[in-house]
Amino acid sequence: MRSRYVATLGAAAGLALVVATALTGEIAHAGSPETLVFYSAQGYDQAEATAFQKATGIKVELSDMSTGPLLSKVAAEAQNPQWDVIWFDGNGPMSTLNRQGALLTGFTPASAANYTALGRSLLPGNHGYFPTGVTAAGALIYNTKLVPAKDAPHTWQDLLKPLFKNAVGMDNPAISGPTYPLVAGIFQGMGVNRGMQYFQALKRNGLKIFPTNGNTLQALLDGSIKVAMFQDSAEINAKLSRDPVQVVYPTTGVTMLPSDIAINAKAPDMAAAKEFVNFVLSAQGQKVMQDISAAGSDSLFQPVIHGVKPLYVRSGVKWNVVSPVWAGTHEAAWVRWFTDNVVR
Amino acid sequence: MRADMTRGAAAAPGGNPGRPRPALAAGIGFRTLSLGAAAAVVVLVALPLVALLAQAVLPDLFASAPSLRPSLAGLSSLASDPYMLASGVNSLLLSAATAVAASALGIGVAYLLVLTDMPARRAVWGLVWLILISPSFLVAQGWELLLAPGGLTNNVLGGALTNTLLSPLGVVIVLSLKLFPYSTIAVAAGLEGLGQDVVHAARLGGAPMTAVWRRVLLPLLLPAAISGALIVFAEVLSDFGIASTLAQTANFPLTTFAIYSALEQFPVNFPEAAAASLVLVGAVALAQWAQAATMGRRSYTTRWGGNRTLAPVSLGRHRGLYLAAMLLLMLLAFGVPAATTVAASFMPGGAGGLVMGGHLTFANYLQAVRIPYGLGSFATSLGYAIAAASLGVLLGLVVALAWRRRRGWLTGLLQGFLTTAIAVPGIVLGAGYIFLWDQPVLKDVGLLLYGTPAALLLAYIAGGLPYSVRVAAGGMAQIPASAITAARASGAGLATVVRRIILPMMGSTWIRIWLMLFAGVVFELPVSQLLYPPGAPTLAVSIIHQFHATDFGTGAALTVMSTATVGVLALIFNWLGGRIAGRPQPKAAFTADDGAGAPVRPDVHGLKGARA
Repeated sequence: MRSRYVATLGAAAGLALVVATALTGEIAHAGSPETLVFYSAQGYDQAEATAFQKATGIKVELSDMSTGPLLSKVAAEAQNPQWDVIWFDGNGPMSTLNRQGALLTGFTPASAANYTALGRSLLPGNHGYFPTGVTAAGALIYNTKLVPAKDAPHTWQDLLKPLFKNAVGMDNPAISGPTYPLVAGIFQGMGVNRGMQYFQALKRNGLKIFPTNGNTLQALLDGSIKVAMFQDSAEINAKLSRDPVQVVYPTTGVTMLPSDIAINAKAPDMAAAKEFVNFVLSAQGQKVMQDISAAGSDSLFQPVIHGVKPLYVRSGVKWNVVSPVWAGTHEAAWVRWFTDNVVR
Repeated sequence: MRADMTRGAAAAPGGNPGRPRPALAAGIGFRTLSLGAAAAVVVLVALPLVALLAQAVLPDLFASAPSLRPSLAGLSSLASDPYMLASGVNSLLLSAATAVAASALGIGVAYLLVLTDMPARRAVWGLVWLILISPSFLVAQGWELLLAPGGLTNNVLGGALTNTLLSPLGVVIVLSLKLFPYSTIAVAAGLEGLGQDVVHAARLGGAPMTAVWRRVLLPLLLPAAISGALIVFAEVLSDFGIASTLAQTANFPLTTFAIYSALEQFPVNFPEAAAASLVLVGAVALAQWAQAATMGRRSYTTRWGGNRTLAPVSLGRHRGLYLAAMLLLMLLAFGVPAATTVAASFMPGGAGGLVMGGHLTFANYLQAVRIPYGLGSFATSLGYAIAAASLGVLLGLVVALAWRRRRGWLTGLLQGFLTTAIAVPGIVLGAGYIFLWDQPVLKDVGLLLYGTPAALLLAYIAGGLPYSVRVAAGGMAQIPASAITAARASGAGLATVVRRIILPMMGSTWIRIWLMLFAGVVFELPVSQLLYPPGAPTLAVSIIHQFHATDFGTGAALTVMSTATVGVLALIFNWLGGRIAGRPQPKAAFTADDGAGAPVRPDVHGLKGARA
């Protein structure tokens, strides 16, 4: 009977060893040349990886995570990078990586010939990364049950009206990824000082700050606020989900938020990486990105490839391009300013 | 009431110089054990943490062009940046307040569950375990959905509840509700050893209940209570789920948030993240020092030979009232956030998450089964969890055993690292693992573990080790040193001591440690995100992808399915543990050592039925 304790422990140890062996069995395969190691923060990454693997027979190992952890992972691997391809929203970090020499340059995939004028305008001179689509970092959205169409806001300044006192919401740029580009875009459009004054005026008018899109939209739907600004793909998704909302693009324009894909300068599997980027920019790859049932609101991007029709037609949009270098340099300081002066 | 006041050193085996030391049965001595324990802690925990923390002063240590150029820029941001300073102070205050509140809750619950005749104790135990194992993102998300401005309660209660709870006080309440099980489990282990007799004796002597608590229970439970409080304290320091949602919405910046900001901006600021982590490390070191100073060198043995569970402490007419209070507590801590997620899992997926008023649907569950890696990721995580929990329990036993008596500076340092591992957020440990296991030089010797399941498994074990060692050490602290000394003096080797004294006397503690480690791994997110082998996502990675990519509903469905499965497992294990704990203590475990006529003792498998 006494031996039961030993038997239990022994069984536990045996079980653990079996599982551990099964898990470590993959060690030999990691980094073998026929696999594409792909880090991404896009909703359509899994679908794209599956489609590529099916089309080419090249095995894709996807690491899907939020943009923040993705950047930490890439930075921590600086000495011995494991990834072949990275893909996320926002060209600030991409342009920094490009300047650091971490990205493959000088390569032009065949599909890049199909770039629209918009696509070409976002392509860096050294071809260090490739735009795959754009969204607006922030557009206006209002609850049609609470705001009649005649009162709908059409400019950022409209949000300061007494009509919208205590009724405007947005995300916290310290938490939500696409919100900093929205703030930086407003700073660029109005000038930094007037931009800061604008947000402080909004705060005096009762601006409410939520952690992320989901919370802000929730507040808009339950009537805690009447109007909000956040990433337009999420706004369009709400509208297509038949929520009682309407999306408005401010007349002064919206900040363009490109999604970019790039190849590691020291990619362990360079050939597969090049083929993958070419695939993403091809008609077939673009179709996968637009499978909204797999990718959700990320599929509602504005295409940058000729012949690709957007799932939702944005009409009358004026796109503003914010310099990634300029926005990136000030990011830490301005997010902190926003926390200290607007959130609190 | 302490039955055993002797120190282990008083009867060292070397007291009989003429006779050679008896041969050790399993061929492993205490010295080998100590070396093994030290090596494990160094490799699993200390080295990865040092790899990251050292960058507070050596920012280019792991840069693409590594150098040892020292710089104080990271550290100076602590002093010069008011935001960092405020976050540090907030984190300390919040952790201390939550440790006190969660301990008060935890001790009360443990007392009711272990010593009294409150009805439905086993079911309530199950609920305590459910709270412990419920993924923290479920709790954070659930409360956020309810409380955030624009959350569900906002309309009903006009924001009154929102304003009360979206404050530092609200954060303390939510964290205490989530974390009190750590205290309950630590204290329950102590109470099981103590038995009801002490309470009966004091009551018979005419002491009112307040005096029983003040003079008997609290002093005897002090080590267990402080042990639990320290875990809660460190847990709060490292918490990110609440820091990034409720606390941030309440304008209450915390250090973990500062660490994440430093790690998730670009270029990534490792020196600043390391410096901020050092604040957490310092806080835990301070708390450990306070613990050592309070406890002194007294012995806290409570598990002596004779305790038996004879008659529980009667709550009299108030039994039902206590049970109702317990159930209310469980409802707040688990029911409310869980119900939010369950509701979301049956609602059509609106872009904003939870859409009220729609028709109910099973579509999310169908989708959760259909998506790539949905159920597969659950199986993957179960595999990791079983392996990490089993190895973690073994390692916890080894380390706790090795450190039972040795009190050298090295042991102190390694213990410090272990608790530090609780206090730093997972992303810090994960980044440390990348620095350590992605070294180009490892490739030549075939040990480039980063990117393989082995690195993630090791990180999981490392993350759980502080808990298993603490709980195991807490359990062992109650075993009289004289029992072990006597056994060794009679020629028992390490294996015999473990097999015949330590394992039986710790009873169900092992099952609980295993379950705690298991549940911690199944839902782990930050370490998994950084370390999971590309192409083989874990459960939390998959759930978060669903939350981000498609809609809240599929992620909620996946959360509900996995939590329910793990919950059922937990209830089974709890039942097993209860069967062991509920039986008479193994009184004879260290009196009979003749091999014949083995004494009646609990059946650790809990499957064969009671014999006692």
